[in-house]
Amino acid sequence: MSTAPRVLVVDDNAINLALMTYLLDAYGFETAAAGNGEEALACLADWPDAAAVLCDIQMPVMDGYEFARRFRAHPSWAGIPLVAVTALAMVGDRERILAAGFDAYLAKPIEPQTFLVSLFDAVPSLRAASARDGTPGTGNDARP
Amino acid sequence: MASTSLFERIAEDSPDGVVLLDECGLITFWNRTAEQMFGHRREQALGQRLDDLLLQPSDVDIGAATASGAGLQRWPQSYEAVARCAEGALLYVNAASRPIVDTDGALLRELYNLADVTLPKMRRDAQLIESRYRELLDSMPDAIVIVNDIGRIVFVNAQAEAMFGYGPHELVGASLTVLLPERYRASHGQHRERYMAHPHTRPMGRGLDLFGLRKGGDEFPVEISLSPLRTDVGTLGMSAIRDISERRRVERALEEKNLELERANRSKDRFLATMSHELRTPLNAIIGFTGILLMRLPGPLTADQERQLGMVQSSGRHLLSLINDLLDLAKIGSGSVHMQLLPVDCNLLVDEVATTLRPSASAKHLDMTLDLPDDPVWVLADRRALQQILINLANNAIKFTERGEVSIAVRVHREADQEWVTLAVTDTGIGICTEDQAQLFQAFTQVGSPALHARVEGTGLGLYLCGKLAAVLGTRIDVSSQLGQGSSFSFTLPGSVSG
Repeated sequence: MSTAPRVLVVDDNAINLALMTYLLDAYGFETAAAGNGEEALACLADWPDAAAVLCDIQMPVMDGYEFARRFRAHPSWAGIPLVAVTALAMVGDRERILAAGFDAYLAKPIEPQTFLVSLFDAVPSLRAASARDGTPGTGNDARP
Repeated sequence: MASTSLFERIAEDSPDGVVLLDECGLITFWNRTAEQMFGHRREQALGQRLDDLLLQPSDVDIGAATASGAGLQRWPQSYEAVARCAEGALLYVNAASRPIVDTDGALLRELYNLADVTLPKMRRDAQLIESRYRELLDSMPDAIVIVNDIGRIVFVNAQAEAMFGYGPHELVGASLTVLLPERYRASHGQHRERYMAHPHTRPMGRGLDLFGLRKGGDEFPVEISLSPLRTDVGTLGMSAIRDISERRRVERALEEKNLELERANRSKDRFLATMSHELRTPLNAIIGFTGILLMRLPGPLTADQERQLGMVQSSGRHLLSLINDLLDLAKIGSGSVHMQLLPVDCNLLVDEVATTLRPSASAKHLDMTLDLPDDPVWVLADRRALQQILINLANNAIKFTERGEVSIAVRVHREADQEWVTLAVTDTGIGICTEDQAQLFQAFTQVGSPALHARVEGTGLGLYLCGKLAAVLGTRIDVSSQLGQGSSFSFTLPGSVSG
C-alpha cells in the first residue's frame, strides 16, 4: 500500500494530463487522472484523503466552475486544496476562478522547472506532504 | 308663448346665427345657423352664458347690461368677436346686439345676430402677409407656417406646401390642426392659447417628439421653432418647421450600428479569449515536455540534445510572448482592455525589469545602469502595462546598441500640487534619424536600413504596442535621438501616494 500523497489531476486534454501526472509522479506523488469534473467527483469518492486536486477549467461534461461548486459543497472534502491549472489567462480570469472556490490559480503553459515551486508556494500543505520536498527524482526512477 | 314661436319660425332660417338672452344673460334661443357655426346643438346651448362662447373686445360685456338693466343707451351695438366653437375651434364673428323691451321700456331680452366673417377676414389678413412677407419667407430654408390668433393658417411658404404635400394657397384659411396627426389635435388649442397669451420666441428644441401630417396621411417627425409676428392685423404665430425624418433615420441607423458594434466587440472578446486558450493548450505540451526532458526526468541527455531542446524551449517561450503581445494589441484595439490604475512602486518595478533584461545586455557586453531616486517613488498606473512598456523599450535599446550602455532613469518633478514621474530608457546605440522618428510608433514598421532588419529580429509590433499602452495609461512616449549617438524614450505618469 502506497503512502505517497495523492494528487488528482483533472484535464480534458490527454497530453496535458500526461504532462502533469508525469511531473507529479517524478516528485513522488501518487496521481490519478480525470477527464472532466464528473469523473473527478467519482475519483474523489474513492480518494477522500487526496492531498490536492489540480483542475482545468474548460472541460466538456462538467467544467471546472461546476466541479468547484460541487466539490466545495461536499463536507468531507473541505480540507482538500483545489488548484486551477488552466489556459484561461486573460485579464480577469484569475479573479473569476479564485472567486469560484479555487484556492490557487496557475496559468498554462506551465514551466516544469518552476511548476512545483509555484504549486508549493500556492498550497504550502503540499510541500509538507511531498516526500521529496519539491526535489524530483532523476530519470525514470522517480516514477512509482 | 305664441310670439316666441313666431319669432323662432322667422329666426330659424336666418343666414346669421340668432341668439336670444334672457334678462340674466342666459341663452333662451339658439337658431340652426348658430348650431352650425358653433357646433353646439340647441339643447347644449340653451341655459348657457353667451359670454362663455364669445370672446370679445374687453369693453363689451355681454349680458352685463341685461343683467343690471342699465346701459340701454349703448344699443344697438356691433363688434368683432371670436366664437369659441366645439372641439376648440375658433371663428371670427361680427356680433350685433340690441335689446328687446316691453311697452314700459323694461328689458325683456337681448337679441344677438352673429355673422361668421372668418373667411373674408382671413383673406384680407392673408393678402396682407402675402404681399409683405412672401418673397422673404420663400427664400428661407425652413418651412414656414403663419397662424392667426384663432389657429387658422394665414400664410404658408413654398417649402411648407411642398413638405406637407399641399398645392399653392390650398392651406390658407384652414385650421393649423390639419397639419397635425389626429392624436395631437385636441390638445393643440390649449397649447396655442397659452403661447399666444405670452408670445415669445421658442427655438427648435430637441427632446420634444413632434410630428407633422402630410396631405396623403403620412406622419413625419418635425422640429419646430415658434416666434410671434406682430403685424397690423394683430399678433400672429410664426412656425419654422424642419422635417427631421432623415436625421431620425440616421440616428436610428447609428443606434443600430452601435448595438451591432457592441455585439461585434463582445464576440471579438470571446474570440480572443478562445484563441488565447486554444493557443496556450498546445504550448503547454511543447514547453512542458521540453522542460521535463531538460530536467532529465526521463533520462540523461547528450550535449546536442540539450542544446536543441533549449532551442525548442526558447522558441516556445518566444511564441508565448508573441501570442501575449498580439492578444494585448487585439484587446486594446477592441477597446476591451481593462487597466487598473493603482499606485505602483516605480523603483521596484524598474529594478525587476532590469533584472529580467540584464542577461541579454550582458550577452552583448552592454552595461545596464539604473538611475533611481533614493526614496521610493510611486506612480499611478496599471502595473502590467507599465512593466510591458519598460520591458519593450529596454529590450529595443539592447537590440539596437552595440557598445556602451542602456540605462533606465526615474525622475520626480513637481508642478503646483501634483507630483509627476518621468521614466526614461536611454541607450548609446545607432540612433534614429528625424524622419524615421515620426513613424516609430506605427504597426509593423521597422525604421532604418534593410541590412539592420536582417540583423535585428522583431515583429514591428513592440513600439506600436507601447504607444497604445501608453495612451491607455494617459501618457505619450517621447523620443529624442541622434543618428549614431543613441536614443532616449521617455514618458511621464502622475505620482501617487504609496500603495
